[in-house]
Amino acid sequence: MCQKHYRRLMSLIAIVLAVLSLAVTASAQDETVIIGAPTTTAFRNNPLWATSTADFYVFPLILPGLTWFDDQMKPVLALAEDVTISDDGLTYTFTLPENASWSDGEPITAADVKFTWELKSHPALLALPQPPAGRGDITLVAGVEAYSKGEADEITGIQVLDERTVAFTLNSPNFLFLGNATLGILPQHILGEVDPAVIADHPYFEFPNVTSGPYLLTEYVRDSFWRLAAREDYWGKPASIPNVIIRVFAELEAQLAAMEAGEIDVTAIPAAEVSRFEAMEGVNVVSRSGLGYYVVHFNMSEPRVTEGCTAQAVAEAYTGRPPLDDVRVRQALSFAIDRDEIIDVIADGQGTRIFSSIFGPDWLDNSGLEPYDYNPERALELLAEAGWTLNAAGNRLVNADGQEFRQLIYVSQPGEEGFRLGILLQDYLGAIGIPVEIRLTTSANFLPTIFGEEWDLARNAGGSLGRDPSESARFYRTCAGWANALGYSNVEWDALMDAGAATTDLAKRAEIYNQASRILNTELPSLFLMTQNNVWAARDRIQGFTGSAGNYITWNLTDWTIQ
Amino acid sequence: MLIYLLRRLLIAIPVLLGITVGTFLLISAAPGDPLLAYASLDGLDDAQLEQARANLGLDQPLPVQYARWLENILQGNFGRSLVTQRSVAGEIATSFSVTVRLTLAALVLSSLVGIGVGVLSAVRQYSLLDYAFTFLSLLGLSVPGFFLALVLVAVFSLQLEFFPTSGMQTLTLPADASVWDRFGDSVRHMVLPVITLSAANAASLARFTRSSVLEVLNQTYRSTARAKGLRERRVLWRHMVPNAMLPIITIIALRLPGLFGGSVIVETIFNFPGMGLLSVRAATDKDYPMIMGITLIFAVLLLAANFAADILYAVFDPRVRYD
Repeated sequence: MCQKHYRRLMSLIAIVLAVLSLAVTASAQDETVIIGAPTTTAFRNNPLWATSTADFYVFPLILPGLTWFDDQMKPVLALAEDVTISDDGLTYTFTLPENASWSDGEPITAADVKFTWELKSHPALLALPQPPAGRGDITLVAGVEAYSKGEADEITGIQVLDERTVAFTLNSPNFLFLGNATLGILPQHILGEVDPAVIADHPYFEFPNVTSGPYLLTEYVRDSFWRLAAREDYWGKPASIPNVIIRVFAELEAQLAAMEAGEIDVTAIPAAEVSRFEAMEGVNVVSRSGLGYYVVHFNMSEPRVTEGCTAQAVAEAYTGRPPLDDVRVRQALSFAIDRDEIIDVIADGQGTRIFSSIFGPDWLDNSGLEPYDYNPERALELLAEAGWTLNAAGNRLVNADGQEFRQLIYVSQPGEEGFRLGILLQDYLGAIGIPVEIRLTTSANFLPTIFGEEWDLARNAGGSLGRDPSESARFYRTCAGWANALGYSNVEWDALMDAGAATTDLAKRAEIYNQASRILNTELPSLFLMTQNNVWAARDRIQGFTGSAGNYITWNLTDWTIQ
Repeated sequence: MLIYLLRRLLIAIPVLLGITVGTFLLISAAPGDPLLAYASLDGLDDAQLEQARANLGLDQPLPVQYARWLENILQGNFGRSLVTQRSVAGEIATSFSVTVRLTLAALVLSSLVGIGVGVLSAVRQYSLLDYAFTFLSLLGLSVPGFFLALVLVAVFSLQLEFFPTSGMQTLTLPADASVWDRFGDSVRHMVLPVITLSAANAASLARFTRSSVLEVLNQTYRSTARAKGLRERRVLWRHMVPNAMLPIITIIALRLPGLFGGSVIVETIFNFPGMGLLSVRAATDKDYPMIMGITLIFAVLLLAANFAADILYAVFDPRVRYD
């Protein structure tokens, strides 16, 4: 009887397994590309508040802005067909294509553009309880500030010249404006009459079913996927891939497993996984030099200036914070670390050394910088110049008064990578007699720690500094968030950054930024380590996939084909 | 009985309040605030930040913030997510069904497996089968859910390719796929998450059932039933198991909130957009109204499960009287 039971049970299990694994293997794979995306923040199906990677994959395909970014993160025209820049660098005039239409047949007009920009900066919308994310982009335009405070009825800096032409006037010349005109344009004929205070609840933002880009949204399951279908009535170059799905993952491991199992076709992969994916059949790995930087900041001065920060206020308030306020000490620390080894350990070799925060793009003249090749002897020499020498036991630095070089506190957001870097720093600095303590914080508590607690070294990675040298101003300009946190201020450097942003001549810009780069390279407000590569995996049946130095891989999706 | 139930319901109110106060204090005491967690350091201007904080009501003292939240809740208003601008109630409603589906499936599976294994273990006490089940139960109890999930994916998805690695449906199903195909597809996607969620629960149920059945094995009504000439199987399933089940029923009811808790890990790893995933994200984003809303729902579920356990106990055991 036991035997009979056993056999009955086994055959039941076999049947269940057979049914489950046979169920629907037929698929429409040859017409569909599935792109995996991480959930970095909760989603809003709304270009006004697009902040997550998945948003940046989806919106260029359904609701593009006037411009977008190519694989080098250079701004390229998206919805706009043409742009002319006035000689003074103040006015940008965009032309929309003659036949551009929404998927419901209505023409896409200059009025839509103005409507969207005004909506984005509408006082009622800004008053909604929301974190102030992604607002910086639009304030370059004249009149945005007055409009967003309710002092003006319209944004005076945006003028509709005719049905297809719209002109933006800036507050001051700014080379980066094209990269800030990426706000996805919305249909005025659908949203124009809606009260901005309640617009977040409009069904259009639950399901934007009228689109301007090459794709239509056909299905959307929150936190799961967007399903897009190529528009048959598209006014521009038609997409050759009929269906695109952007699928989101809460866990990187799940995303990688889905790629390995063939459930998705394109995904970003961590550097450490390169060899695993290179070994997979039918998968191409594309590695692109990245734009973000990977550094360890020095805490050089105290206290922070919290209100009314100006160069003057900073000059009065900051007092040096020994021993890191001594530039020779910072240079010594920079000589004491082996960047090549750090790139190997932290990024599995997928990175490039940098010597200042100004390291791209290709037109930049970055000559004459000290590379800080690994040289512990040089480090000890510099420390000796600064008054610190190794004690008799050779394990601790002491000064003439017999005081020991204090233990440095290294802080990092959680994660193995930040921890590993801490261990490396302990090794390198320990070898020249400087002890290091590692403190990991939560992500949410990282900034409060930086602004409110004791620390000496802080790991920081990201940004898009490689796309234009002027990006560095956001980090090191007097009173900028990080500069203030580090206690760094150099008015000469600030002036160079202002001059660079206002210059349109590339040769002149290269010269200005070379000077600025040398200042950072010498003064070292941070330990400049590397820029990490962005690595992507894609099925080799997909042709035309280029990856991206930034985060915007779908910028040329209409050029992709399936073989 | 009625009076007892009413009393229980009334006691539930201060308990609920206590839970919300506790949660509120905890998330307020946690370092960071939703704005700092969200905004990047560059371009953060203090006036803007203060304005945003005022918009959120975060500039008010804690008791005022709590009172406001409570006032809204009493009017059925859970507030809006700080991050998505959607109503918290709507977000929870959407994800609730996913979690319920996962949790109920896990409850059924773990109860069937747990009780089945427990009964078999008990009637074959100290047999090889009993030892094997004991070992498996210990394993099920001690292996952490996330680890089990990763092993299941590595073996059954990546190596054997039986089941998908994650998600709730195959996105490339042909548009004309039949209802049966879609149902099968959805079941395939649930197999690994449900096994993960059930494992520990099934294991502990098996242990409880085993000892509970062992207790009734030596009762005299067993001999009576046998003496009446009933077949052994009937004696077991009609006379002994129902009696042994009395404590088990309450245990199952009390397990429900635990399963909801376990869904946090399972939903994250298998990418099921349910309450678990929602709460993880709310916590990461420091989305106060969302965290409070989810906690309130979980607290209500917990109290309801306790309540149900009490009632079930009285219903199944005529000796229990709540007077």
